[in-house]
Amino acid sequence: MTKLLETKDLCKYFGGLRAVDGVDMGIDEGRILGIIGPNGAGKTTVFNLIMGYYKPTRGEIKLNGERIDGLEPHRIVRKGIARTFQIVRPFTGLSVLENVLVAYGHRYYARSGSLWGRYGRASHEALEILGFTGLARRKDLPASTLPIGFQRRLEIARGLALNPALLLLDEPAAGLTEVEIAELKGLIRNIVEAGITVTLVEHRMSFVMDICENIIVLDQGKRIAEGDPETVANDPEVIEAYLGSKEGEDAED
Amino acid sequence: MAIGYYLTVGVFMGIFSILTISLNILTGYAKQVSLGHAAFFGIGAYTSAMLTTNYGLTFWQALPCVIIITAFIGTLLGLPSLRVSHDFLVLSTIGLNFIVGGVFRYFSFFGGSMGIIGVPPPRMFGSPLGNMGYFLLTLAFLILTILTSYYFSKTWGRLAMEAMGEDEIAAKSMGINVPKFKTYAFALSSAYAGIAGALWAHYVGSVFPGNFSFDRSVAILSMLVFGGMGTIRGALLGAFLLRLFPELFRFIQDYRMLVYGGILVVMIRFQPMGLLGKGSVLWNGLEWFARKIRGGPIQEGTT
Repeated sequence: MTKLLETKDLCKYFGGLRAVDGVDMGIDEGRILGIIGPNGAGKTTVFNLIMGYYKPTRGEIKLNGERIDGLEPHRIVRKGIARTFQIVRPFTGLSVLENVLVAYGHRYYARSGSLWGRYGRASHEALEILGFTGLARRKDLPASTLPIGFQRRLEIARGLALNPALLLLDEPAAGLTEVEIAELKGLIRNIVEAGITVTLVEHRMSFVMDICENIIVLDQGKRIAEGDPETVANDPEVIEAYLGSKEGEDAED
Repeated sequence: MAIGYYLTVGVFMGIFSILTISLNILTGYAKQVSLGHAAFFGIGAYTSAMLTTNYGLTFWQALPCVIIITAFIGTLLGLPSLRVSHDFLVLSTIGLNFIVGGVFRYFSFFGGSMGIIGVPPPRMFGSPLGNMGYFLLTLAFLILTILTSYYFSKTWGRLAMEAMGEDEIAAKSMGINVPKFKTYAFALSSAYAGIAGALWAHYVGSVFPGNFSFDRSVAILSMLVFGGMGTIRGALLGAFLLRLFPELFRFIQDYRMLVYGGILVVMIRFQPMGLLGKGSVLWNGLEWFARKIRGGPIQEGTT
């Protein structure tokens, strides 16, 4: 299977804290990968490294064999990776439709000439994405007035408008009700069916076990296990990391 | 009162409308709050005054240079915004206003505190413009400003600026090159302000460092906040009303700064979107009223 994204010996140290410590991982094209681990395992840091918000202390990140580490976030977006935020960050002063248009515009922002085009012309495409994510009826509402479930959909809608090859979802199920989670699963499966590779970071084990075909477990910045849900769930090291053997730390969810 | 008085009031209203619309791009769209906008205004005024008095250019020949030079200096003065934001940016724009004012005052190249006098009125059709001519000229520039900035408000450029102003981190993940768009906002905003400055210099006939001081920046920001940040209609209304009040009630003249300061505080506290901004009480009311007249369905809760 071809690797869409690969990291080699990926490290990020904050002073003495080794947030990510020598992670090798590969993201298979067309599949759903889950990255799990206890609090502080370095999951979100991995996302931030891939997206270019942090520069790796060491190691490399390759997208389709091309190095992307060290690039600015807006350049990485143009290379075909999109992300959603764990704590939703809608542009609150803009409508739902305008939020998606901001993302859709990524293809125009690079060249100064195309900045002078009218964004209204892309409304049709943006509406299609809103339809796909179940937000079409709410297109004119200010993004700030959406309930949390729909704000998460909006995050995903913006991600899709970036036309990515790889979509990174940072805790997409956090704070959602069971019904909303079921809908989210359907949406994620539809996204993968549309040919977009999805990688998600998640706390809810049931969610990850259900939807992911492959799982990577991080603990204290290191990769401690990888495999399909069943293998990972029965891995003694994973169980120890989650339940804690000595310190008796709480398991998440 | 003679017609000349009304024309003069009209010219200044026009100039300040252009200024407020120019600040709207920087502060309304890109959310880079500037309390130093008078500096850009002054750079435009000084550039045009010096090119026409010292270098013998006409108003029309100087105008393209004014636009290019103010856009360029605006870009330079906008560089701090790449490093600082929010309250710290406001402080540094105040500092820039004082620096620019100081440069005008202390360098003899710019005429020092004596300023530059004898700035010629523009000529059209072979003769210098009179009061009525100048009013029409200002009006023409105002209409151009409204049309071009209205067009800009519909472009990807404005959408990216708006997103960047709201949340830089999210904007980056939408493919927006934040430093580039901040620079654009400063360049575009100061180019418009430069035009307003040139109109001012050639109308008044002289420029002095004191014309472009910090209180003027406060006045411009007050107009924008009063009318409604982020909208052209708000910028226009703010400039119009805040130029009109002191003319209607002469006694306000001496307390102008007090009024501007008070308006800033009251509006930010009770109507941060201004009189006609998106989501303001008055604008929502007008929209509701418009829908009612048209007989369309009245939607609740779409504030």
